Amino acid sequence: MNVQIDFMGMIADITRTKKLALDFDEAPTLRELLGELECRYGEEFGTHIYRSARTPRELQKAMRIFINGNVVDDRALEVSLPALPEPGSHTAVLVYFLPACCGG
Amino acid sequence: MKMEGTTTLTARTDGGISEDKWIPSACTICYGGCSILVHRVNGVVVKIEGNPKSPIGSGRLCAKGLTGMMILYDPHRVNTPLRRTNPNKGLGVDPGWKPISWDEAMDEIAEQLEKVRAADPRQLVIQTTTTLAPSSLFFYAFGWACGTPNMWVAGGGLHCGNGAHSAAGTTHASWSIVPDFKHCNYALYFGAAKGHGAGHAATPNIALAADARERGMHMVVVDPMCNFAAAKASEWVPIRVGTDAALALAIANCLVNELKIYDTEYLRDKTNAIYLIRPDGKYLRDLQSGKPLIWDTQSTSAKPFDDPAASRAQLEGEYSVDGELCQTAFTRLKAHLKKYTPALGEKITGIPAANIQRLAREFGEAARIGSTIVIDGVSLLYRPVSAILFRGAQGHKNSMYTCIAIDMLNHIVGAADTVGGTLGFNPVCYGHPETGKPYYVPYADRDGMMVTGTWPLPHVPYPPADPRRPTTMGMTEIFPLSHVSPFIASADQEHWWQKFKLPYRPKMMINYGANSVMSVGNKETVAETLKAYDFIASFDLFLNETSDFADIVLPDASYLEVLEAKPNLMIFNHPAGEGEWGWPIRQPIVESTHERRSARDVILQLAYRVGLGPEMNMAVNSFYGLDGEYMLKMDKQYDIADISDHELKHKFGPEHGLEWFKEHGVITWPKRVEEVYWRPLLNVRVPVYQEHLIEMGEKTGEICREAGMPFDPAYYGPMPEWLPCHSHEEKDSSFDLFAFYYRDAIQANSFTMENPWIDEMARIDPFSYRIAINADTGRRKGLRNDDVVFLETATGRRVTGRVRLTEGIHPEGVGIAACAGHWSKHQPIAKGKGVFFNDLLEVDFAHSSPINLNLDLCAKVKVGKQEVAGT
Repeated sequence: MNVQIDFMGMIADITRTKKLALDFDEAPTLRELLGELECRYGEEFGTHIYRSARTPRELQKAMRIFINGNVVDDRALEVSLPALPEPGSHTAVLVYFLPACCGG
Repeated sequence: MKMEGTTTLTARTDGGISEDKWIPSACTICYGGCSILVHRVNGVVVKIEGNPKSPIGSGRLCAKGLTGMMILYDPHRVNTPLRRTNPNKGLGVDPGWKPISWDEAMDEIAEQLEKVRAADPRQLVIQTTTTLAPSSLFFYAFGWACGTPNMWVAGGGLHCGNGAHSAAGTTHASWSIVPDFKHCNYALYFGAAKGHGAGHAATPNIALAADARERGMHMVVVDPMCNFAAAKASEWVPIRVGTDAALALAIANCLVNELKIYDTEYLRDKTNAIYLIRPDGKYLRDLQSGKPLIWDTQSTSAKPFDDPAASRAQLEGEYSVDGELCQTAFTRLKAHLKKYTPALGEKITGIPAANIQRLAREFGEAARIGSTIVIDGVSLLYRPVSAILFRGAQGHKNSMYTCIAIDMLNHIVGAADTVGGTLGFNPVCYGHPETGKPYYVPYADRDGMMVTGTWPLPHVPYPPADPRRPTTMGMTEIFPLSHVSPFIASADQEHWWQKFKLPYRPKMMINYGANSVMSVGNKETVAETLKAYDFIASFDLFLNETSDFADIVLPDASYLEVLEAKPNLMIFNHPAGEGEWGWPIRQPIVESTHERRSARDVILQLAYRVGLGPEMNMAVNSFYGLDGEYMLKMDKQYDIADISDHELKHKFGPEHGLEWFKEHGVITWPKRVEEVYWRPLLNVRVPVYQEHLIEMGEKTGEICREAGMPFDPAYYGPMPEWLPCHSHEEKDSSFDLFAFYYRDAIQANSFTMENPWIDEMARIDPFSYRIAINADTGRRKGLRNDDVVFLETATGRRVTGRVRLTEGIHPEGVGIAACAGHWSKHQPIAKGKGVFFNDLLEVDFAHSSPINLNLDLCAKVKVGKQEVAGT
């Protein structure tokens, strides 16, 4: 399956690219996709994506991942990316890192 | 007669009434965001009242809210973009403002933005204020779109957020906590004013608290000062400043060790009290699954916490597992608390030991452990006691432990998010009946601990991220429990940036309404950090002490001139407890005059102008949870009205878009019992033993030591302690009083001092503009009412003001109201009135919490009469 990935915000400064397309023989889980991306972009990518080094690693809460326009969280990590809805289309994954701030 | 939403238009030529309309909207004088009706006659706002159709106030409004038109029509507003002509910046330096056009201003800001984005986007800093909290989300979205992690709420987070919100988020899945006013019989306030004119859901809580007191709720207020909450309480307990944790721990000790009052079932089923703890303080974990283990009495063996055996797990005891002697977390907690005897509590807090024991007994007995109550046909746990805290208690170096210790009282007696107990602000929502949105529910992590179902910002309180070397100005990566960092404006920022090899320095700031020169700490320190920026653009209603450091000032529209589809965040400023959900909007009552523009509109258009449209749209999608058909498209440009329409239809369906809300103002629906009293119904636990702090301390310590930063492991233990502030360790006995500031119910942050009606109230109030000192203490020092005195710290910081002697303050306390003492010539009503307490505060790591970076907000001072010229 073909996965089109957009990187936005600070995560794009780590990947040094805003777009990436990957082909997989079978639909990967989100964890497998993130593992592939960590291999490409290194440890810094992993430390921004995951909140802890303890396995199984869980996502930073400041991370926003949209799959086909829907926000997902830790509970989607072991789930296969949605299959192609129709021939010729792709699965769109958007990875966005949101830094913290608050008060009041 | 009030005819909401109706307009009577009659052609008049005699100067009479041609339009008379009440328009629903939302207040923004403080972050309470109460729902309002605004009376507009002939296009002029003539009155503001509460909106009875919205649960966010139910028709009530505080004194501040009634004065809103005085901001709208203030003749000292900024009305056109301004550029400074004087390149020199500093306190008291006139910027030499020159009016410019919006095009010129936007061109220059865009040019500066392009420059920092090309060099390193992290050079951009976004600064906001608590007053504009929900609207600030748009500015954070802009920061995210630009790729900077450097954003902060100037002062707000340092003063109130890093402890209270983190603790409430961890144990109540909410921004803050409040008694279940409708059913609570005994409320114990620690430095909090919920229901007394201040704080989250301020106006709704006023009514709830008043009704509770009328019903007979016993209210004990622990506070150095007897003012807004304590004056209306059953009992005021004057406490030495900054020692609330010691009192809470002594009460906890009395409960569990002396009185043996604790809720065994709650602790077993809803906390980690039953988890087995190894000698090193960490959980004993299952070798295969990694899950924390409990002790099963039936099989006499250790089982994972989520095994059915947990329902009969031992709450107390010591057990040998594979040769390792482990204790339950509760056994360790009980042993830990034993040192906090009432006598020690008295020594630290100044509260007699017998009173501490009495408070513990009253609290424990009022909890009615074991009782149930039926609400709407559902049988629920009934625990009508509550211990709450806020800024006063947590505004110290020991803020984290203080918050944990106070809230622990609720968990000891099982009074958390059940009937009559302590409630989070709406942490469970199953959504509007027609759409199921907004929807959020806390859930358990792999250790069984609760993760909040929603949070206003991405930095959730639990589970915290692993500490790591910093790449942000605030260096919060080292201290994952912190939300806001003093290093954005501290005296030692450059020192630590060098130590941690920060690869960039701040160059550009976009400020949204904050007056950081006054809201953070002493003005000299903050001013120096502002001078270091190459360029500052500031959105302001009025020129103030901070806009003096700006290069361009942009005239912001006031809350009566702007549109906002989300003025209230459900876990932030929506009332807790039974009743209705309400989602109001804020809408323009009048069109902006002069060159004023909505800051949110401007920042959105700036993003599009510099080519950040896709990033900005996705950041907005993230913030508002927009997905599916209402998700903003990356390649399209929107305005605020478009985005508001998306947001409202996404939550409430296509028939409830912006036009519907403009007419009706608010949508409401009933709260379900399981949304309000959710704790017994959800399979989540909360920590009474903060095991995760141990590993955090190990990692933070390692990072600190590498850079030569002091590290104090005492703040990273799994069980709370009382640890002293700097002020408790002052050796020079001439500095004999603890100065603190308190939230004045008629003021919000620093900007309301310019409002003439509020100023009139403050001048009538004997305390708003004066320094409160205990009457006996003052007399011993030869002081009389209205004497002009100075307060001076050991570091030479000094403020002056007129004295008000009162029995209503601790003998060692000095109380100063709000954030007053303006000196800007552009705020002639505020100028020279009140006392600028924050000028006494040091802003550096040494005066911050070593675990959450909360600034220590008390200062040990000496007091003396100020020589006044001509007297």
